Amino acid sequence: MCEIPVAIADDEKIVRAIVYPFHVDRKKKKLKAAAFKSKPGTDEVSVVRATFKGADFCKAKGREIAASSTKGEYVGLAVLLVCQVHDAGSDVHDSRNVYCGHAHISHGIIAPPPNEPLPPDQQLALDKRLEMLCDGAAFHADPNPAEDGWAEPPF
Amino acid sequence: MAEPFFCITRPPTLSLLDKKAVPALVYFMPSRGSHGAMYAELPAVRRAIEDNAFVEPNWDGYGSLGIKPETKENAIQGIQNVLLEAPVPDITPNPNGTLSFEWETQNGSAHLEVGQTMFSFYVRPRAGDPILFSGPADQINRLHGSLIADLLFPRGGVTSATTSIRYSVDV
Repeated sequence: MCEIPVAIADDEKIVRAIVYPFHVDRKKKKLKAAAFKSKPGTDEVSVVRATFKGADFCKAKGREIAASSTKGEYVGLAVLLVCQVHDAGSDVHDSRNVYCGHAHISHGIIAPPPNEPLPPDQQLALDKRLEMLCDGAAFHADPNPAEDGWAEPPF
Repeated sequence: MAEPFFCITRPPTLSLLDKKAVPALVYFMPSRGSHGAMYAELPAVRRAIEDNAFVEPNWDGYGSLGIKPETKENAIQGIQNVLLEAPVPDITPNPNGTLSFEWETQNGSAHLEVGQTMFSFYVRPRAGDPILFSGPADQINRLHGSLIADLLFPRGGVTSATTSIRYSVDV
């Protein structure tokens, strides 16, 4: 039974696990747009409802995601307020069917066919949103990515 | 013997000058001298494309698609035309199985995304409207590179000398 309310408040914190090298540019020390790009065939981006699940859970999920990646490594967590997602023009909705505490950012832009790009007008609109999310997100690099638990100050 | 990968002297494809391909409000500014990548940089670009063209799916852990060999070839062929005019971009794979090339300066940004059969392109200058193109992946052209070079990497105008010459009377 999932005790978390389905409705998502504007001041809730959501977290995206960051996988290097795809989501963060270490030279420029900033998140890449790919950090908030949707899964193929959807307009949805997986996040954890950190306000309810806590940093340890977010980190565990991040490590799990990166472990399933064939090329990436978990390096930290990007934290957003739900209102920042709304300000960018996207939405957040609960998706507890994945697991309790899971949510999706929904960009509302129809996914292109597999292995093909979006039309440029839609790509431009999406990139503006992604830019806002990257600028607004607080990236917390994890100094101990291989260890269990979030040892840094709470976000 | 294998052919060299980049052919600098290759004549440009002018398919963008086809009326069907050019929106009415788009203007071209002929590039004033090359802003293009240096010859020595080109093998590194090819290597970067090959390094990012992950065949296996789920390379990002979020269910990404693998990059198809056709997409990689399209990207290699297309970017060599663009690099005749534009400098080396950032290269990133996308979860949808495409490859992106990105340029960003204080003057704006540009994005070229290449897929299995199609490409999508825009230049977004800080001032003025964005310029958009899309089409078959084999029509990525050096004129796309010109737009990037001229709008994002403009050359400075002619400047006058700033050295001041004074007579010294206190010698």
